Amino acid sequence: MSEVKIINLTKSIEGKYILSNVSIELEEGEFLSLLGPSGCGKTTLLNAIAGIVAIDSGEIFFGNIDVTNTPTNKRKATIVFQDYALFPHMTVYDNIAFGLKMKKLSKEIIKKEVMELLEVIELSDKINNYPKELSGGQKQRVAIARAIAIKPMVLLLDEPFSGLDNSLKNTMHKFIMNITKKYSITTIMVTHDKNEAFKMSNKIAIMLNGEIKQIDYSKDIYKNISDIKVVEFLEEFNIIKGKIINNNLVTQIGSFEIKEKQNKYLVFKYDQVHIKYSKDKNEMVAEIIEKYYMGNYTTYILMYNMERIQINIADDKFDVGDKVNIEIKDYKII
Amino acid sequence: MGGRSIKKIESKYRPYILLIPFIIFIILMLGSTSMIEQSLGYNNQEGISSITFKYYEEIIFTKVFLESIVYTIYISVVPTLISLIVGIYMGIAVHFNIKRKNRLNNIIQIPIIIPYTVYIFCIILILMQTGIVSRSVMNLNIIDTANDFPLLIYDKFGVGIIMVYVLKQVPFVYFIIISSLSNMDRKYIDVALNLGSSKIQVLREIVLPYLRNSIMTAFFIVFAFNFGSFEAPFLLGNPKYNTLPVLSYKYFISSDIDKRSYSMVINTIMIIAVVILLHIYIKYNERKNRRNYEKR
Repeated sequence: MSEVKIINLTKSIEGKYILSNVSIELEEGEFLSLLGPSGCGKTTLLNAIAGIVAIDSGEIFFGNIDVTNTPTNKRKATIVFQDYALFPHMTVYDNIAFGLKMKKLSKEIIKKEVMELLEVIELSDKINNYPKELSGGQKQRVAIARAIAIKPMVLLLDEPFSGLDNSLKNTMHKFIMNITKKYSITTIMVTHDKNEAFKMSNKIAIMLNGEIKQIDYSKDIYKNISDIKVVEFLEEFNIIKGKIINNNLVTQIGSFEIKEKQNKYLVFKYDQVHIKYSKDKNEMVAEIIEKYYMGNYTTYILMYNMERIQINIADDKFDVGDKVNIEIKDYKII
Repeated sequence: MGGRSIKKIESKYRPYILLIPFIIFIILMLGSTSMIEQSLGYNNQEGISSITFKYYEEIIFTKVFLESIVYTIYISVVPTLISLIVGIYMGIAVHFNIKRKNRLNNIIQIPIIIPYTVYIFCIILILMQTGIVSRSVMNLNIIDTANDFPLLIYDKFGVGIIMVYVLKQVPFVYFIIISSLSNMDRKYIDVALNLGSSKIQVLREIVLPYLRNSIMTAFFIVFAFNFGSFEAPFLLGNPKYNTLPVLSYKYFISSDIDKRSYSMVINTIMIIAVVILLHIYIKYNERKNRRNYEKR
């Protein structure tokens, strides 16, 4: 049985759909990233799962329990907000202990649980500090400890790394991956950073305009990509539109066999193209019109038979104006 | 940044500004420079140039003075606490339950701008033994004569005085609370609920601690005002029970010149008490942890 099952969740505000028939299924301990641009409804979906935002229709199950109408304080889905929202008048200890105190557990049990979590988040020395005395990373660790202290069925993370610098982000990625694994917590994280999503999660749901366009295991996202909007969002693909003629997609850069009549785009990743200097003057060649050094790779923009193609390769020996042959290693027709 | 600095300045000087009516009262009634002199027996007009604490000794251990202190504290603390409880409840209830509160706030604002004297006479007309309530009750044959109606003004418990203070000060507390809550980030409440709190627990653990500084501010301001207020106890109080300002006034208008010095002693003591209170308030303000609850 799935640990989290969301069926056709819909939410609209003033006639505009914020969430449209959203469905998600997760097994226990799975880590799902909700990936999408700003304003696509990711945070609303997270708040709806937490029970903070009311939904118009749909169902939410945690295990075999229907929690659709369960208030947030009884739902067992704890959320960590983007700015952590640690209670400023409480110490680190009291923040982490908050949910346990609300359950009216004994002081001894609360102390034991909190001390164990403080060990895990490596902040035992900050037990009596107030949130304003903590760094961004420390605040985040406290917020996560506070959320998992009550042993939720689902942990919800709303853009948890947006306020952190890159080096701290990497540390916190590992911390969250380790802690969710250690406690085997089913986790849903909202992010607009695809690298973060691929690095941390075993499942990714790509959300656009309130709809989940694709949900897959991380390793299968590129393999199973089938929606041109998703391709556009990922910003890693050349998209060449073609015409269907006799079971072939005819584009400016060649003709490709198709399986389904509705397919009309040739897509291939920027790093799935080889180029080499053209020796045959009669051969159709591409011309490099722009070149950018990107650190560990070089981006070339080519014009090939009126189509603009982007290539990311390690080789930086080519220059603007060079004529080159191109070879597409892997492509999809969608 | 600019707005925050102005707010800080406003917050720093607010108690002083709000104490101006009390200070003006003292200055106008007695004359600040000669008051302390006279309390110490120094009176150039009478040719007395030596300083003595005899008036202090003579007045501060008398029954009338001690009773007046107790009555002043009672008449200051009780309406302060009632106003705080009602004002906080109203502020929280309105903030969390009413979305469009501008019109309601305008109505609640009205009592603040009505002068105390108007309230006092309204209370007299409504609550005195021949007042509106008494006559209505008589017409309903619940009581036979006006004398059967309980004494609610000029009574020893100061019911009328307390009612005037409460009616005037509840809206004041309400506005302090509502403006403070409007700066509170709703997220803290969502987090507390999400972590399993009931609404009562949210109120106790999150909302009231957040309001603590505003409540303390409201307490100090309202208490200081009630402590030094003159017109309500003078017009609605039982002649046997005098607050310190009323007792001071009675000594001041006495034909016995010595009793004037008692009045000066009482005024000096009131000033010292208010300055001590102000000092406590300022120290509290300095000490309190300014935690960042505000919306980001």
